Amino acid sequence: MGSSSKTGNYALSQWAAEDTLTHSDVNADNALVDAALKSLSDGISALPAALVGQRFCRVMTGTYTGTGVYGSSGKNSLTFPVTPKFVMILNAQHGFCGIGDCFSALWGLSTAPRLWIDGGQYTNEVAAYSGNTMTWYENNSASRQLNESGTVYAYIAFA
Amino acid sequence: MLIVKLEPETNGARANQNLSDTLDILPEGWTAVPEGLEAAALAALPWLSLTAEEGAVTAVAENAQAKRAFEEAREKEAADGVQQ
Repeated sequence: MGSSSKTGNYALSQWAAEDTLTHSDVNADNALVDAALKSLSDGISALPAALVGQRFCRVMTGTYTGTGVYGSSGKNSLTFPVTPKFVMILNAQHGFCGIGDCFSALWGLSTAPRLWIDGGQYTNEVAAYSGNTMTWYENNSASRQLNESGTVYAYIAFA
Repeated sequence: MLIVKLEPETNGARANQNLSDTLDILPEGWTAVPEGLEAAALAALPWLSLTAEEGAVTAVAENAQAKRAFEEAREKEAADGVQQ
């Protein structure tokens, strides 16, 4: 008697102590393994073709350490491998987008990105976009420009 | 990939960007810090001084003088603010 039971997924032979090992069981198992590997390989080969025409979002992240300068003579800049559609910059040491901690920008939008400050007020960041580089400044302070000396800021950008 | 601006800011600090990606083309006026020097550069930022040979960074160090000057100016500013 050959194998008395089969595995749950691919029906490969399982032998009990009293079972005998038969060529037919081994050949059948090899045929099943061969078919499963072929199916897997065909699936992987078909992936690039299936992905053609699909739209993907590229996420780019990074940090910078503030330099303490601000205003039009002390602009910040970030350069990306590809042109993003949206960028968010935040104080990495606070880790969330609290008051005075972050602003976001839709790439190329003429409306200035806004940084919320105390008292429900906001300040405008003067932003410009050229190629894959974004520059910005704020006229009142390095912290409002997200450029406080020694503070680490993080950004996330989507392309 | 860590890139830094070749020209320091007016206060001696150096603009920088630490990317999770790599850039094929660096922005004009910026240079890449070699991987082996990144940790030292990150620890010194933004008060970073560079040694470069033929446009390539060969050494990094903290610009202690600029850092001290900035801190003293900030302390003075704070003291002046308290007095007023």
